[in-house]
Amino acid sequence: MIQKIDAGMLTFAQTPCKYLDFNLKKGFVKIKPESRKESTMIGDMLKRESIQVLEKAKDWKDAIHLSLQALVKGGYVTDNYEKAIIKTTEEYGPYYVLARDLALIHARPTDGVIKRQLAVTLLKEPVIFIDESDSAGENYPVRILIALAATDSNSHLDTLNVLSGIFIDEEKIKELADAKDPDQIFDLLIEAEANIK
Amino acid sequence: MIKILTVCGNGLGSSFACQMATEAVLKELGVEAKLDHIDLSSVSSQSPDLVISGKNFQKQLDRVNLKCPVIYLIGLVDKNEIREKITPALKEIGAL
Repeated sequence: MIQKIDAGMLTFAQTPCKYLDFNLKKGFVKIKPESRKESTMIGDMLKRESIQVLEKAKDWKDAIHLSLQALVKGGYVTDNYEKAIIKTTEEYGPYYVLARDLALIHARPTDGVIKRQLAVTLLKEPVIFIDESDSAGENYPVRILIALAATDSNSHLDTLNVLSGIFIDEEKIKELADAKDPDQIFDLLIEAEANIK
Repeated sequence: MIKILTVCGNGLGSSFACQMATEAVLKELGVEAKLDHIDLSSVSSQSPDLVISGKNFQKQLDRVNLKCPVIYLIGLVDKNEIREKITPALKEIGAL
């Protein structure tokens, strides 16, 4: 099925088996590593070392801070990004809490994004996002925090398309929230992308 | 075809995820619609048939005085909640 095996195949062989299965099932004749790289948004946007599993966060502000650490350290966002997220949260409430257990932590590209990237934080103990703008004080328990740095409104859509495939599936959110380690989270995300295409 | 806008603070992350979830629900309901996502400050310049947003944006959207039904969600990607709230709204605008 694969016409030519070259050095690039080694890179390919290192990718998760699920991806390989998927490609074989689809009957791809020739797979070039460079084209595979282009086609995996998650692989491009998310580094394995940017995924962390933590016991808990002190409060929602601490959770936001922790979720952005990898992006700040990696030079993908400035310190201002965290301030902007906290400010909009205080103004509008935590609208990025998309479902129970799931928050897509982000602000605008102009709030301090240097380069597009993702980071994922899983809290074993849920943190409560309190909607301070709402007098009813709605409580939002969150375990998965996906921090998104987007450079413009369009470039991140492929990635969000993949992520949304997870967000709209309660079972998949549960799988992510119950993940045991960063590797499992990474594989779940790569798998989600393979399933969407 | 009806035009549906999903709205959030940035018009970028949450509204897009909400758009995806809404698309999935509309597919189930067999309703064809043109969907887009937009930020809170730009919605007043649009003329959609239906607007979907988070409950926390209700105060801001009330001020915009939109001429179409507006659905407020607690979970922006909660398909059950979207289905429950969009069905009467679609009937109201004659799309279902």
